Amino acid sequence: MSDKPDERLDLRIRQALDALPDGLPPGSAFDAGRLWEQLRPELMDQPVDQPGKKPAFLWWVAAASLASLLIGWWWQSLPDQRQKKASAYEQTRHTQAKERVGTTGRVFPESQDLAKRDHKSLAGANHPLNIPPVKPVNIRVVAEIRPSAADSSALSALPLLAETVPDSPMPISLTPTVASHQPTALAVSKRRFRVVHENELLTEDEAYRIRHSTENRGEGLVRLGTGSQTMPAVDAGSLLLKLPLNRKSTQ
Amino acid sequence: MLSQLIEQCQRGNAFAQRRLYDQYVSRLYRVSLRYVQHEPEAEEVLMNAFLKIFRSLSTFVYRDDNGVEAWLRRIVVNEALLHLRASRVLPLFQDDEVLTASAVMPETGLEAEQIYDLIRALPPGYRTVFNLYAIEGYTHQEIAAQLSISENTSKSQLSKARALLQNWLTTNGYERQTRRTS
Repeated sequence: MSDKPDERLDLRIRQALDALPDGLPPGSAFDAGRLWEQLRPELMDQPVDQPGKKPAFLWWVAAASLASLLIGWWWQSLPDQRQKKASAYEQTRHTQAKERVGTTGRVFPESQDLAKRDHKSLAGANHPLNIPPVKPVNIRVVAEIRPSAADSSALSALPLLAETVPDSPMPISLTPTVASHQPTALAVSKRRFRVVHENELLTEDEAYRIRHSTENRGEGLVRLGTGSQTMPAVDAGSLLLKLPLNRKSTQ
Repeated sequence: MLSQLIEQCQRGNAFAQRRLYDQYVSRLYRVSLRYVQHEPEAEEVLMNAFLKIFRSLSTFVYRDDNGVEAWLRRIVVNEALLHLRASRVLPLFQDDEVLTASAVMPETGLEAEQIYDLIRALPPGYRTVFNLYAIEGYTHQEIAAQLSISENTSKSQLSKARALLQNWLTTNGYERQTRRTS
């Protein structure tokens, strides 16, 4: 109830203000033209923002961020490319060495040459994995032949122990770089050859001879099962089978 | 007509901007002068308001002529409040403002111009709250938020402003005239 007179007063004042003339208040020193002259340079300096027209600095910011992204991506991809190149180089060398071994079949000289060449190439290229070569060791590669039972007829023709491929000692520098290329020379030797020292070869040779020879044994004794997979080459004519006479079948 | 003028202003046409300025500058100057005491301050408020109007006109959506004027008035009022806050006039809500206001009470004439002068003669606190509530249509909650005061302060300032205006109007015979017409 007490708001009604107040509301009526507010309404009358609003009506009075709406009825004000459109001009300036009487006695005012305000000059609209002067204010416009002050306003116009400000509007010229900062033009009206038109819808759909972005400020130029936004384009610059976007271009700068895009460029930084591209540079970052390129910088990140550099080490990957180096690693890829290195791995591709290793793979090509690996396959080339394999092909060379498979086609020639001559493992040892080729592998020796390959090892030497690899070492030279790595030393020449200042490779990070380059390690000074170790003192050469004289080794012999021995071909150990294990004939099957079906080839018993050819047993006599085969050598008893081993066949030494080269007589002259062949120095091979066994460096870690060469060891990394095992699939070329050493992997093949795992299957068919065994690399032993010269002294070790002599000892083993001697032991094999003692174990399998029949010269110092009495005639008429047949050795059944040597414990070795290889059958000793025995002359067929020297075999004598002695059987006791108390057997019924012989009486 | 006004819609075309607004559209031209949105495209940055200087001639259209001048026409819009001429059309509203007097009314908006009066609005500014109702909030700030002195004319140079009102002029400064008006200039900042027009700069804001022309720069943000691209976001304005025209509906009708009244909507345009209401939008322009609101910008001027906000600029005036910014100016009052910056000049530390607000909050200036004291009880002895009545004495100050009585000293500048108009003596003659109760036409629209005199009522306008009466409002301008109110103390800053009374005048601001009365302008916002009774003329612009703000609520006490909005006024409290705008002026960083409590709602009770806003209500008390409004009731004191009304009492003062009522006293002046009664003294000058305007209340009788109001009762006869209503």
